[in-house]
Amino acid sequence: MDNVAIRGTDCEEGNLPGEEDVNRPGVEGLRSTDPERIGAYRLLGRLGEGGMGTVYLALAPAGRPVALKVVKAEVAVEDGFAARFHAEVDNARRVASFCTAQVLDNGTGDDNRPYMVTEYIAGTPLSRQISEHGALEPGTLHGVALGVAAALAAIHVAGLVHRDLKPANVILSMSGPRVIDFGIARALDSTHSFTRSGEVLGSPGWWAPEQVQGLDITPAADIFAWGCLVAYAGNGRHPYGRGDLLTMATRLLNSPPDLGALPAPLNDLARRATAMDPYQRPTAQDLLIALVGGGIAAPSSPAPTRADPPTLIASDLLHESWQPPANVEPDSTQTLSALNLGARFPVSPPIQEPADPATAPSTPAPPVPSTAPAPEGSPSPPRPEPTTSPSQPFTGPVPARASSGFRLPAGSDPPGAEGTTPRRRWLFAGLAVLAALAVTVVVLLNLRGPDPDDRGEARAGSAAFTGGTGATDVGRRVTTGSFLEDPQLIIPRTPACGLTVYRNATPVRGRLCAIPWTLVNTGAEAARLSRTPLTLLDDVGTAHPPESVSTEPPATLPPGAKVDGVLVYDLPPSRKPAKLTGTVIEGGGEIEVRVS
Amino acid sequence: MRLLLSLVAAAAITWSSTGSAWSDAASAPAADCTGTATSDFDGDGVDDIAVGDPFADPGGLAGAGAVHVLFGRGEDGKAVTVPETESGDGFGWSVRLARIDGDGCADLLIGAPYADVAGYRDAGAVYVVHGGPDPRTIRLVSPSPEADAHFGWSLASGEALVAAGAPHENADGVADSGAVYLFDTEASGEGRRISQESKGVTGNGEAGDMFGWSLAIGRLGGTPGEPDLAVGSPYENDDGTGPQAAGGRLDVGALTVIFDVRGSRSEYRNKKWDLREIVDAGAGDRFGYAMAYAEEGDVGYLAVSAPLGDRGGVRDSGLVQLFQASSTLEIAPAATFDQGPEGAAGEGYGFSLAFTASGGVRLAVGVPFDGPDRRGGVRLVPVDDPAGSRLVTQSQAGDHFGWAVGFSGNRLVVGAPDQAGAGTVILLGRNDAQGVPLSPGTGKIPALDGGASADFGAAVG
Repeated sequence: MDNVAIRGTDCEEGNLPGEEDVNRPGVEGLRSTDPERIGAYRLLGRLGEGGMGTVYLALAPAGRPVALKVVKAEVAVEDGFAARFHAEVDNARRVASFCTAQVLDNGTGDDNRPYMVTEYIAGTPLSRQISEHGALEPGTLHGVALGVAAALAAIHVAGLVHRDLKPANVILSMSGPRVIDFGIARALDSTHSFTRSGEVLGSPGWWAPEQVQGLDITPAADIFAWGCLVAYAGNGRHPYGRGDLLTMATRLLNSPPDLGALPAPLNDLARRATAMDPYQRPTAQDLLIALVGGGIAAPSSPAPTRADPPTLIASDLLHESWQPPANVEPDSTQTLSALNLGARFPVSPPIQEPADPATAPSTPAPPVPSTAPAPEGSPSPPRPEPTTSPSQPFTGPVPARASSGFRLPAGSDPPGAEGTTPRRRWLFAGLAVLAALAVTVVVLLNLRGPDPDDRGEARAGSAAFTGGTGATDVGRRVTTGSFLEDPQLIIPRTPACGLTVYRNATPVRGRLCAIPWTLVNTGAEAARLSRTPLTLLDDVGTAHPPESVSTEPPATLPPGAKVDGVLVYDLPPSRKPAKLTGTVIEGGGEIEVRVS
Repeated sequence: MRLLLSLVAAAAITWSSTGSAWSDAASAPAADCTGTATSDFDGDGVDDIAVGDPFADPGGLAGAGAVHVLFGRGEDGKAVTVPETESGDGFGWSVRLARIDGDGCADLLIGAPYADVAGYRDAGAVYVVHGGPDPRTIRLVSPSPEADAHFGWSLASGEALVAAGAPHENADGVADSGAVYLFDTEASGEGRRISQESKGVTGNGEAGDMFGWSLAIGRLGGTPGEPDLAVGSPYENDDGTGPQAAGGRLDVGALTVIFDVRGSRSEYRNKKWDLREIVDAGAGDRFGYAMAYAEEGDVGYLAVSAPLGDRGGVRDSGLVQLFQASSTLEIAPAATFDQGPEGAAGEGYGFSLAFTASGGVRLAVGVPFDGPDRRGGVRLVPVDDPAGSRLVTQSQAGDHFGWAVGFSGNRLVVGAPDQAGAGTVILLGRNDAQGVPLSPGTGKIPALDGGASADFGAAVG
């Protein structure tokens, strides 16, 4: 899959775009009440508005078009909101920009409203695509399913949950589907916006059952939304139909979704993804593997075999060509062209033959595939399954169909004005493909890490231990303060996971992980131990409390005392333990112990 | 010839109850332990190394603890186990290779301060594993075991005399005031208990003194040829004479030297130092946290640390106080070592100490929390030229290099129990630029049978 975009190329030359041409679908002009600037960003137009805030198309100081989301004043004034918002955005900035719109910046405007800045993804929201053009073709559908699964994998690996995945938040761009608007949902969720604005975060129909029930939100909620989204995109209708909030919620909790007719393997994957029990749903990484032909394991069966090397999967993935819907390219081109940005900000996928600015100096539009686009407003015609390797460029003349009605700024775009000659573009293309490969391998390696081989009884010895990789704190002495004065915590051995029973306890969610611990007080004062047991974060950042079979530490640890115990956690299938967090000593600092 | 160190149950006896078995075993054939190496366990003439890992789980026994003996430069190694080890014993919390019996081979002392004894939880035990051609193991315990006393927390020996500290014993009814037990391994009988309330011992047992936290036996100014015992109480408060529960400066620490400790019975003769009698001292200095002894010719050297001492103008940067004695001079304070203005609070200068007289008297001072990332280091100090000291580091972030130090002949042994998680020991020859890292499962050093190392290098000797 060639969902790779060249970003950050030289955008500094040429005149700044004007606003007079902002009249295309997806971009509205600014209103009189809109500010000219927010922070260092010059606003160009409006991309959307919701209960929480407004999204603007803006220009970064370097001339790069960005999407800037600013929170509504009434939300922003809430106590502590700004801090939560910025903390969430800081987290979101850790997400790999793979099938997502990269979070670039955050700040607070002159009116104290916090804002976040992401890449501007030129393209058509999936919601508009479906409402205007109907269901996606199987090839495109598969690409959307894969791209969104990859985006979720990147988001979940960073320890985040999107919480508001819906077709409006998936942009079909020339370079592939991109998931936007992640990262701040939790900050918004914890405001009292329900009563204030009458809008619940998340959108009816895209909630998972546990969201409706007010239960803990885990990455599995995003997976549920993925299943609904794929069904919606493949059938052109929502799997729970239409209705108001209450109707949708009732259906969600009482009836299975109507997944319609989806091509394999999407039919099976969507069915699994929309399981009522979040622990029965596959993970984003499971979906990725299944979509590139690796198959998927039922939660109760062993994890996918580790025999197939990740590189093979990665190359498989790369061979999945992205087929944008026929109407997507002109639309995105027009949007950027409207801003006179198209010529200086390439959004085209690197696999395409670049337009030669020397021979087409008056064509600011980015190149388009040779396949003739369907007329706007009509369903796209069927497309053949891709046979072209992504390393092969599309060839043929580049129609300059977007040129009418758009002015080229005088004196702009001399040959090479994009800062990328065709040769350099090819270099970028190669690098971008490599980068995609690397990210894919990372994502897949994450998934293909050591899995517990022994799913049998817990027993003494090391047979059930997972082989830890990388740096961990297993065997290390950890202290919250001074090694001379404060108690030390040691996790002496790698957790024993994949257990179906530990003593008399059996797992409810998946498999048990037993983590041995030792606390020793070599100081002179009795230490009061925390009454709150350590929390286990799994490999996607979900927190798990210990099971009751765990050893309870004593209330105090006298000088010289040592206690040994075991913490037992119930982890969903295919989740691995990552780190223990919490406090050991009453009133002590937070510790973090990497356990695998 | 390497010795089989997997010890059979029959060889493990409790000293206090079956002392006669010792005499039978002592009539073993003469050994080939004829070399001069003082820590030669296997009798091949080359110094060996003992390494403790008190949190290991050999045989799947969580926290039972394990000890390795590394032979020579670590070309070979064996895991030492005793059959009665149980989960949580902390076997290997303290280790010491020294000649105890008369066969010329080194013997191995191992503390297991969290061993349950006669139903008393965490009372503690010490094992004497005899090296040479006649391997046998003796278990030493307190004649009146007490829960949570942690007998075996510290160890010292001088020939046949073995001392074990129980710093958390509620000695004389005072919580954690601490006690020391002496065993004469050439004679049968129970261990002899010494506390601050023993007749002739200066001071009083006060709650939390932890008398016996550190120990050394050597020539410290008593009758020539008779061993003297040094006892550290790092949590002793500097509060003047008489028993006081609180007041004064807390946890300054103290050193008690008991002369001619073997022969004394009715009343001891001793000398005691509060740190302020030697240097400027403050609350929390913890004088007596670690100690080490060496002798060269007629002179005995004792080093005692205060790892949170305030020296070089830097609070809590640590210090080491040197004492000297000879056949004609009673023990007296000598030089004070510190990190100077380079020191920083909490680096743990003096957390561990080791001495060697082989090739000049050199002191190794562990600084396991040195560096902003607590990678640790060891300061090597030539006693006759302290300005010529050098810092040894061979560590990465969080390794705690220098948690334990020792000498094997003239080679420096450094424990880095958190290196790579499971721990490493680094062996550095006198003229080596780079030390040799040694850990179980590498080279010929065996991994633990049915378990994993967790804190290899927490103790070396």
